Amino acid sequence: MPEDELRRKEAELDARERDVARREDAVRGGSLRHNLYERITLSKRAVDAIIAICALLIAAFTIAGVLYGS
Amino acid sequence: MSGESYLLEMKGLDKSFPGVKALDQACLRLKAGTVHALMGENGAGKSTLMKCLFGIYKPDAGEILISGKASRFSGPKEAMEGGVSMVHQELNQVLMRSVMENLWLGRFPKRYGFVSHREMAARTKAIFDDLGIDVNPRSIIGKLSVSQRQMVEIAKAVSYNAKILVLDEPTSSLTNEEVEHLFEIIKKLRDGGVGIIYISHRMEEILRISDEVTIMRDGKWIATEPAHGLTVDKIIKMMVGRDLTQRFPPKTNVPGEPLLSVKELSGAYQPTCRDVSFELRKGEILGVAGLVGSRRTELLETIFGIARHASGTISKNGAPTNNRNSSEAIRNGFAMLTEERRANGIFGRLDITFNSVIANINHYKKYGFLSGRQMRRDTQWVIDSLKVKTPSHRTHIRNLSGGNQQKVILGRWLLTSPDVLLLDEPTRGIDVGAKAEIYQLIINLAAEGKGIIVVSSEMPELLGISDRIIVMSGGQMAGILDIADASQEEIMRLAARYA
Amino acid sequence: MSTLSVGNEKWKEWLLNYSLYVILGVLIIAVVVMEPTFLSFDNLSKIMAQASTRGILALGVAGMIVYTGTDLSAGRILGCCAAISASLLQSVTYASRMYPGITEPLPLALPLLLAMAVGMMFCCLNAFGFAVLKMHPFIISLGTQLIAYGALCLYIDSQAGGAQPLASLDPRYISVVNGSFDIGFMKLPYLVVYLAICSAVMWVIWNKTTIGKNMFAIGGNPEAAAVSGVNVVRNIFQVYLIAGMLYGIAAFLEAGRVQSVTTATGLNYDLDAISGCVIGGVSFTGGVGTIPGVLVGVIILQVINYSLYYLGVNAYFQYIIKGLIIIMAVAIDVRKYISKK
Repeated sequence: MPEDELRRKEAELDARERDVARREDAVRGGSLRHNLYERITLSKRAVDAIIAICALLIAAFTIAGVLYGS
Repeated sequence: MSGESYLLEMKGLDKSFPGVKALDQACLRLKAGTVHALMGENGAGKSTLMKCLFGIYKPDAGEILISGKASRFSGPKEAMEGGVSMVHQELNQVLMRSVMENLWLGRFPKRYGFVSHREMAARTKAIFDDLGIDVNPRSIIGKLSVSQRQMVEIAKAVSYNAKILVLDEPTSSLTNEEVEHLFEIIKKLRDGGVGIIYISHRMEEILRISDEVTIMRDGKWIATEPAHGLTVDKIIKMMVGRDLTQRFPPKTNVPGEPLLSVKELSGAYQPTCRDVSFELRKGEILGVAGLVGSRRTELLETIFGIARHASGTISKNGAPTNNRNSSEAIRNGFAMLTEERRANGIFGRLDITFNSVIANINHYKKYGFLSGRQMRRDTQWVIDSLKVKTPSHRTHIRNLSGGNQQKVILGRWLLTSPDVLLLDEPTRGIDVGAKAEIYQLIINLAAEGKGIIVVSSEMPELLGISDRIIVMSGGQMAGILDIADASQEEIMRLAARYA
Repeated sequence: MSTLSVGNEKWKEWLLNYSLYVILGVLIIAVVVMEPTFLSFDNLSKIMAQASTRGILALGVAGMIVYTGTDLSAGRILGCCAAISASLLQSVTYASRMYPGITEPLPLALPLLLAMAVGMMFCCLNAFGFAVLKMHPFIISLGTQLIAYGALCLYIDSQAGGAQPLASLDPRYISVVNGSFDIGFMKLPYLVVYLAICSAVMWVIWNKTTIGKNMFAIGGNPEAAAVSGVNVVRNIFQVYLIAGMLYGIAAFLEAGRVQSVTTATGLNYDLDAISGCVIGGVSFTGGVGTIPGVLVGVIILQVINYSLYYLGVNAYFQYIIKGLIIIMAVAIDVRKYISKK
């Protein structure tokens, strides 16, 4: 039903707004929650890239370490 | 009112926050075995009043009597043990844990000192069966739909065997069926002697379920009336304090020559808009209608450049425009008001000056430093021309009402002197009175010759202020309607086309 | 979308989420290929023994990560407690022992309990900062870390003969820590047994007690916990004190294992503990984690460490690689939870 859809969208937006408001209130009230990930704006691609780069570097350093080990 | 014993009496409550008097001699009287609706615009003080009852806020003055005895709860736990239970607007649930753990949080059933999962599951199931809720107690609550989560929250409140139950916007995420289910539960509780305070914006629902209605405005108690004598119009009048005969201002804008031309525009990253083409004229208000998922926001974001476009062209005043990011878009004379004001519109912890001047900040540089005088002047302009109600420039934007916050953001964009304004749900979460003011502002801006695109989920709103309406469906454009030919049915028909 | 590309999508997802396990696999294969002697029960016991003390430490730190925090002081606290254990259990025949007044070997339980008490004391400081002063655990543990280090240095310095490594330990102590059960052709180090006992107890606490349930609630949504009447401050102290006990136990065992405690003991142990937790699925978003996960994470980290050492990789490169592993583990964690927004 289209009306239900509109309602749901309204509810979704309302919920999101309240969520943000609650978080802001929490930070303002000195709450314990300091979620490190809440402000991350990286896209998933960027995170995947970081993982891939780390993996490659680990491989590189391992190989280098074996070859030039002391 | 002699001889009437009230289950709950809240008298003469005052509560102030820095810069804002949230409650001004507010009062509420609840009788046992009734459903008492509490209504008012955003910022009227309903939530604050309930938080005082629940022990989250300490009132500056006034008293609270439960069954005749003075009560001052120092926190939610005491309130719940004292027989007052509340279902909050924001579902405060630990999403990663199971339904039953959430329900029994703070009072886990134990066996020999250890938490008994079996007991928890059994008791939860009993409550759910009693209320007719079909949810597995062991499932992770974060995986349920919002409506199921709301049902669980209500079950939790009921499980405290409260004498007073406060429901804050309980139907916001429920389908019609679920609303019926909820009403059955409410009636059952009411018949059992529970006093229920029901906070909602949904007037038809309120008239259906409540016995009495209390209306608040600006932190003050306005009236308490039996529900059966009320109508929606009467309620609105009491809430707003004036007759809203003119919901939409007269349209004084006249669309002129073409300003913006969008051809076959498609976004790059799905889900997004596809092959959208239209023209926006100077002085025109172009409404954008559509269902959830029709990608209207993505359309605006693609035009503004914060979402990448894959193909298509945009030209402004005949010249091709490529907004690769928001800075370019601003330089090219575009402005965009986002849908989620609190999330990415306001700088919540900063003051009005900052929120006003930030988009235009480059204009205040003099030898590398910012000119305080110019910023103050422009902030004052925003406050004056948009009629923002605020004590000073330095007030934190958080302390303003939703409507005033939105005005500040609109003012922020106007300072950049845009030619094209993209407004995404500009009156979302704003009370009736402020909405009218925003409509007037939009029409005035159009009358000055700007081109305005308005996305809205409220069809009456689009029908009230637009010159033409684009209907989006499934990411594509389903049609363009001239305002004369537009109606809710016609828009719905087009909206369902590619859905 | 064709089923082929959907298949590719799933494959890529899996690869990214489990990339650390993949690296581990590749590394093990490389080591076995290059040095087949790697695969021996002897090496396995060595790895497990090394993992044990770090594991017990990780069990404590894990609670803090569930709280959406961290603990940078764990390593230095371990150093302090190890110093106390070692100093009280030096061989009574060792001339330059710290307490010449001790002429009869002390019962082993005494230094153990003392170590646990000191651990609890430092953790109390962390808990106070977090629960009462509402500081972020990162900051308060940074402070505690330095205080613990200072205390450790002072303690070691206070020896009559000047600062020297606390060594030459009581042989009973050494054998209780480093001994092993003989099972068939395999040796099961006592350390592994101690780790198993601690893990079992922690598992019960996390899953079967109010303390554990409340811990997850507070980590997952502190407002919901507070509104439901959970005594947040009390729970924080409970969790931190348990961690303090674990730090004490880990320190006692570590001192016995390395048999020499200096001011450097414990340095960066917390990084291993934290990485182990993150690799094992204890997310920085808070409110999520399992005891088996912690164990798996710690063991994986140890195996990687040991393989690199076995391959003869330059020690400094090992540092760099470990750093990269931490970054990778956190990125994988972020990846899992970022898509929910």
